[in-house]
Amino acid sequence: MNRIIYILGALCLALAAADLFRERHGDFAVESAPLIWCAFGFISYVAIVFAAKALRRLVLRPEDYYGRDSIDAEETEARDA
Amino acid sequence: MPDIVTPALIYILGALIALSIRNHMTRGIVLLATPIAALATFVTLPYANYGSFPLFDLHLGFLRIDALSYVFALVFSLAAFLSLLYAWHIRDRLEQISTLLYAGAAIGAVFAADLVTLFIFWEGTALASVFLVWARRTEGSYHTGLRYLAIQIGSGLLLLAGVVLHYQDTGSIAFGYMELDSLATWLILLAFGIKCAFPLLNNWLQDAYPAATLTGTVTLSAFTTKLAVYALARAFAGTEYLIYIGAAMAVLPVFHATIENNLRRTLAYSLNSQLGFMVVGIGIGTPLAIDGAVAHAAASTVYQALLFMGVGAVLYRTGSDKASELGGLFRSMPLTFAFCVVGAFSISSFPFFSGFISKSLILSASGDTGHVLVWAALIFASVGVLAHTGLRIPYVMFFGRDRGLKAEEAPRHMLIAMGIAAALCLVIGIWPAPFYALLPYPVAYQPYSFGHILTQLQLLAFASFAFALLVRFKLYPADLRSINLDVDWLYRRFLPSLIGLIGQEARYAWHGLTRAGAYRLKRALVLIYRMHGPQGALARTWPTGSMVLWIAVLLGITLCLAYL
Repeated sequence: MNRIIYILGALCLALAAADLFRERHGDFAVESAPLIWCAFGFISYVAIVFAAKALRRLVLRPEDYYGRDSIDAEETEARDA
Repeated sequence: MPDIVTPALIYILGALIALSIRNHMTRGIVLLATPIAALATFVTLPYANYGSFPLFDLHLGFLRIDALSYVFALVFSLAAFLSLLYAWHIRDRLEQISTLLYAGAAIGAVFAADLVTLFIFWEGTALASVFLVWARRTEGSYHTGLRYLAIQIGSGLLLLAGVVLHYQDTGSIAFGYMELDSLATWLILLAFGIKCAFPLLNNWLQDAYPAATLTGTVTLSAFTTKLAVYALARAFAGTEYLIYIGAAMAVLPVFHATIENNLRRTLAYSLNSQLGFMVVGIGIGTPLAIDGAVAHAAASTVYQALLFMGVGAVLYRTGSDKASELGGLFRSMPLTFAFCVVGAFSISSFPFFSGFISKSLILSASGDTGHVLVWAALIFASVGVLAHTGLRIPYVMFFGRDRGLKAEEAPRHMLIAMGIAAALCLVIGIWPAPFYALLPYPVAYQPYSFGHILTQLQLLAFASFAFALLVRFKLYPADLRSINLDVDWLYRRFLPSLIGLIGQEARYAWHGLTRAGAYRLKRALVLIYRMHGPQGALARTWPTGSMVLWIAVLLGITLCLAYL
């Protein structure tokens, strides 16, 4: 896992460095801000995961919550498995 | 080419022939030949209206071939072929026949030039597809199928009501552009919206798709929702509400998908989010945006089917499609892994994969028209897709915790189906020009520029880096054996229990009332008995005496009243 993090980190650094060389025009001014896409990717990913964890507190239920009305607690996942 | 009214008839014919064949091999060949034969009937026809019939004073049109219907029919034919190939091992005739009828109904609906024909095939897709859920043949799938059918038929009935009102308003049943200015068109939009899984109307999708057989889910993923996208593009292009509905639809499923344990349900959520992008494109309604919606529908049909096939292959070999029970299959199923990654990269719109060149059109169209918030929401949803599908699905199945699962590579026919789908994802992504040429409007869009590739890679690489960090520091939500409540809780739990509660309270109230009544009656009878019974105070005297007494009392009261 650590090795993957180093490789990804190096890749991110390279891509961030390449940000200097991109042409800055777009439909919106915000697109031209330096490193905006890097920041947006990282921050929104973390935000999604933490928001989902918060949501889980609210909606998490055991598999047999809906009883025999749903397939979630069924042993056989698929007939032909 | 002989005049064949509608290619749907070829599917019905294929289903009838397949039904009568007992040999598995021969039946499989008939099944696979049907989409090809049906494709051959329309693929070379010039754009025009065929198969028109007068019915009373109405005009039915069964085969309208134009740029929009042509693309969808092409994609549906491909999807039908791939799902039948993927399901080659299936011997259940019920499932095979309903796959053909379902695909046929979807293609029939796409070619419908009038609303009555559309309605017939619209309901046809509902009726045929529910058997893909029931083919699982468990009690849970039976109940799930009933819920699915109720909602799908409900969408059809709304459509019918809308069509009848629309005919009263305009005197025409032609299926074309509609203005949202009457009850009729609102009803029709609602019918389309249910099938397209609009926010709050969406849960049939996440409920039913994981309940189908593993091959049935692949089939289901292709048709119903894309048919709705087609219908919206046909009737409601440029309707502004759709921009915001679509943006909400792209963002909202992201969170549930991230924590969902059932991987086929995760894919159903990510399918829902992809539909949001298409709805935004339809809402914007410029030629570029419509092209984007159509291109994204076509591309996503293929990569979504590919992902469902990948999860299905794992389910087939291990018996589970749950994140909490999978992991470490990288070595035993390397080809399935490779195909899954192609699907995952496509849905995450990595450059040189199909999702990139189709989603870019919609993003560019929302940029052109100055919808900055919608544009940002779509990019946020793109990061979300990477989170719950692009990285998570391959990670939990093939890496993650090694649970010592013994599995072998997927069967050959599944690999071929996945291989074709994966190849298409790559070919469309690397060489988009021929794909763009199929779209309704001429495309002057260049997806590949240094800046565009770089910014997309930055977005994806930094999000992936965040994923790796969160997994490393154990902040990523654990895969738990669980379900998550969603809007369907309202009609599966809340409403039934509310109705149950009201019923119970009414019963108690009735009991209370009748018991109180009976008690009072009894008390009254006891009182009368005490007064007039054998030992009663008023029974000690003769009844004439008591009558005289009462007359005296009455006289006294009258006297008092007279003096007042």
